[in-house]
Amino acid sequence: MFLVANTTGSPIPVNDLNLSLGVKQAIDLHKIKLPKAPEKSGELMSNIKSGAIKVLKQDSKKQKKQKLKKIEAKVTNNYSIDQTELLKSIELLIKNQVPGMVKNELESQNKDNKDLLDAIDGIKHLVKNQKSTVIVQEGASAVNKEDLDLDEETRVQIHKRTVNTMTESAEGNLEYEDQEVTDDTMSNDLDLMNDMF
Amino acid sequence: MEIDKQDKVCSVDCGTMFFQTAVRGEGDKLVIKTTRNAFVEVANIDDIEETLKQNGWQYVKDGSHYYVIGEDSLRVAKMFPGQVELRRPLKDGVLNKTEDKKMLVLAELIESSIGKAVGPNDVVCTCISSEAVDESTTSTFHKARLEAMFSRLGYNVVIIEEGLAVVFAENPTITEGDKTFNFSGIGISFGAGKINCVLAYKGMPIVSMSSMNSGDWIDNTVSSETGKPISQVTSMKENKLDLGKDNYDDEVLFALTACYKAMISNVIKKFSKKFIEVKSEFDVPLDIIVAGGTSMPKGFCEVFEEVVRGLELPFKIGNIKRSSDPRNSVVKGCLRRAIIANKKLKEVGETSNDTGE
Repeated sequence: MFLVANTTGSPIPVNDLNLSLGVKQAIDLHKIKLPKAPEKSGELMSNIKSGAIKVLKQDSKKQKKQKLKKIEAKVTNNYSIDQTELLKSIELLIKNQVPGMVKNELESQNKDNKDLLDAIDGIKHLVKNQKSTVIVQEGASAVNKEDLDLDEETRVQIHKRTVNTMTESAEGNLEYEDQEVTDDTMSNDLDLMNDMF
Repeated sequence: MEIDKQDKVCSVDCGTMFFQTAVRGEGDKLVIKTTRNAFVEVANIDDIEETLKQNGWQYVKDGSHYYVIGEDSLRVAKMFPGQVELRRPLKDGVLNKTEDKKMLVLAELIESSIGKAVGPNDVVCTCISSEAVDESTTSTFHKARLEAMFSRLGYNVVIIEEGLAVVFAENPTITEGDKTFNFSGIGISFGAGKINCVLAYKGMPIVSMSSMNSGDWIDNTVSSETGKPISQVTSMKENKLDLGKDNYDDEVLFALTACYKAMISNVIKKFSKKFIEVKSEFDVPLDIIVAGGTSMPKGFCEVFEEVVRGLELPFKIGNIKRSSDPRNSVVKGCLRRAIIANKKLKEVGETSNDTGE
């Protein structure tokens, strides 16, 4: 899962993914067809860095590994398999699920990645012993859109608590010098404003 | 219009460079408090609190940390160059993402300047930047945080766009036939972090935007182009710059003049683009009011007029004038809006009492 949301008040185009995120729209980028892995999108990363797009949820390596194990279990228990087709599907799946972590790269990475590699090898080994055809597809009922809408009042309440906590132990001696200025149009302008509002 | 002195009605402008508040005084007087929106952290050495008190420095204590606030922070930063870092709660017109003590400092500035609300009709009006046209940041978070900082003190909070505050303070008008419409025209606030523009019609914002290239951009650009430290550039900008002169003999003043012209041209072009985007149409000339600390140098209004009248724009320009009190214009406009909000709250309260609700 790579759930992101547009936090701004206007749509955000992500051109290198052929994607436009509507106002406050949230979307799981792993569940839609994109020209490339979302993690490799410079525009997306730049928007995330600037805060315009927020990552709400992203699978950790462990979660990715668990997903692969689930697929392995499905393959073992339920299907007989055409090797070539399945190898292609798995390759595609791995590219989508674990971008930048294809086998060669995994070998040179840390222990977690080594475990993931073993799991992939396990699946491949299993596949070689199967014969008939099946298409492996994870989460066929993919949801394309999820709306994110944190209402203003809730947001203010959250910030109020944060500020209260932050200032709990604060004390100061701040004083100000008063500057008295004349605003001779104020009375008249206030009457005009009063009529307007 | 008289206001009930029982109610606390005030305005706050949390600017990138200055923090200001205003309340109504006697008659047509306003009482304005201004302080530099900056701070430094000082080392917690023995007797630090005594030292701070003896020097009369304004500070905030948070646990074992001490922060010198406002103008005093500049003095401390100058006294210990390289040892203490001048920090700002706001950057580019919004809360500074990289500053983890921003909320602490701002909350203390707010509470110490306007105090807590005492009654149900107490109002504070503050302002935020309009939607930025040249970057992807949003003020949604900034707005919610600001509102939280005032509502935690018990105030009814009104938040308006900064450019609209200039319109409320200066009351530009549009004349259509024999009718004159108040609070109609373009208000531009040239701040340190941002330039805010609002075209208002009868007090309603019709076209609004903000742009990044303002006072800080000028300082940084001139500093990097001339190799002079930013503090020197800022000092020359505030004390020596006269945009009405050619300034050929001084590289810093010359660069400042060039940057000012570029800034003005840039913001008006962006505003024109926005005007076209929202398909706004005004056949009558629009007055422009300029305000804000970055519009303070001598000759600013003349240069502004020269640049703007040389551009091809999708609307006609009427009079161009600088606020008579550019530094305080935004906080004045916010105060006017707060006074109206207070009056409306009281009217609603009275109606409810009359009907027994």
